[in-house]
Amino acid sequence: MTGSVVGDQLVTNDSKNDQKKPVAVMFPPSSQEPTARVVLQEQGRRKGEEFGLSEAVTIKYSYPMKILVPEHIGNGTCRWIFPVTFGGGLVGGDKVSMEIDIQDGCCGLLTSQEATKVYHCEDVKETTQSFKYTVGKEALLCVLPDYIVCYKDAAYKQTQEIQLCNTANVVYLDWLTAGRIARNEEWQFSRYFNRTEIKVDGALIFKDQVLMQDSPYITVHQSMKNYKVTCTCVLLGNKLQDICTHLQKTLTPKKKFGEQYNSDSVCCVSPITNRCGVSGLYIRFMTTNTTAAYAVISDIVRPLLPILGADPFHNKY
Amino acid sequence: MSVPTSALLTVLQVSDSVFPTGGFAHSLGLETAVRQKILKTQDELKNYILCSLENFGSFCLPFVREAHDAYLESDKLIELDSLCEACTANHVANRASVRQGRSLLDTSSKAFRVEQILELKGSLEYCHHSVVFGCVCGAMGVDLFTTLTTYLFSSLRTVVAAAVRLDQIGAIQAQVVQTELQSRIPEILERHQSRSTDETCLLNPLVDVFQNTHDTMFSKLFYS
Repeated sequence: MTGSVVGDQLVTNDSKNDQKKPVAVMFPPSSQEPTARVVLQEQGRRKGEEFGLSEAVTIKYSYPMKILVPEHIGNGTCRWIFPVTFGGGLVGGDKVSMEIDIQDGCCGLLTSQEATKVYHCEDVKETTQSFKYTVGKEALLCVLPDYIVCYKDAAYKQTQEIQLCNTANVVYLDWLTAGRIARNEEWQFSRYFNRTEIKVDGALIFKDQVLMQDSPYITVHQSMKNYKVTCTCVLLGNKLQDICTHLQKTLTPKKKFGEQYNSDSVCCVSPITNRCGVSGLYIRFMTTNTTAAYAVISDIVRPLLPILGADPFHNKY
Repeated sequence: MSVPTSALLTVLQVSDSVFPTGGFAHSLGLETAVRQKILKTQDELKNYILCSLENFGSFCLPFVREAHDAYLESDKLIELDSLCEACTANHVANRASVRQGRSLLDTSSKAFRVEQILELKGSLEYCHHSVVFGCVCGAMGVDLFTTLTTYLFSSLRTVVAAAVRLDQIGAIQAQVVQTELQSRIPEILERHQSRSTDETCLLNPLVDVFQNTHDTMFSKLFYS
């Protein structure tokens, strides 16, 4: 690796005939540059395929993040992107920002190898992660990472901005667990903040903002009752309409007369109808354990498997 | 701080249960929580109502405040209304907010016949309750502090009243709970009064998730 080129276009796939593979290069961090940036571009299309062969034409990253875009995973159409953090987690003061650009006709999956751990920060240095996704025409972005776990006294801030054009498609999942439950550490972080914004051609169509922090009268642990996992999922776009219709029917069926609720898992689904020409679903659920959460997640991921080529959560939960 | 008599009368009128905004039709998530049996004791019920009140503080107050300040600027109000729509993806909460907002706007425009309120009727696309409430109070000369306090009071009153009708608590015990919880309103107000609409957030997502499952119930007493 050569770290000498700074701020330049480090990775190329310039020559059309030359089958040179993209090379990832680490570069020193600066305040302006994102910590990581990946651009997927369509490089031809197999006959009858919904998405083009998506190739990473830019992969940039700097400490504390590394990006892996493996060659032989999935089905060759959808490109899998793995951010990897050094030491398996984020410490107080870490500021990670990531930009993912899925260009027209591409299909990309952002997933992870393991849960993102946010360690305690004693000197009130917040850990922040910000993600900016851009999705082009007839393209699909899937964000299906493992959960985030904030340890005792962690202060975590996450912002995600998804820019879509009106024919773009997105599946976005974000989940959080209570902490190291085996150590009886439940909802002991000092602060968790998440902002998710989805814009279509620049207009804000969806915003979800949650701040979990003990209030003077009630702790997060008390307010979350027995629930130890909380999860948000958004599916948007024309290509996902069949999946959305199916999920809306199956995830939250209307209860029959006398039917009891299962208190291990509470799931809700709201339709998002024609906001700037984009429709889809907003799904949220809370469960008492990760297995119950994964049961719902697998329902969401299963119809996507032919597109993704494999299950990013295989053998995990 | 004393409130001018005319403003006081407006506030009393708007927050009165006979002012037809349809508040009685909403439990704001309490009915599903009761039906799903997560509130087993009085303390759990009280905590749930408190969580709901905290959410009103962190999520709705910024809209009430900015709408109150901008009651003369219809562009700003339209912007606030659209932002509130984007922030309320929970369709049950959205429905509750829009229904009550429309009724409030309709009643106020007929009852008060104030130009700004009449103008608002044609211009707001969604009519979210927090935006309409802030604007109506602003146009009627009610000061900001009184407006915000009244908003939190009415929200709390609506949930407590729903608890009585769901047979979770007696009418007198309900007032004991109301007194205890409304004693926290000044502090909640203090904590959230400078929060901007950009920072509007939910402090207790659990309450929101339960409210959102409202439509899955086989039979229901409330509309949200």
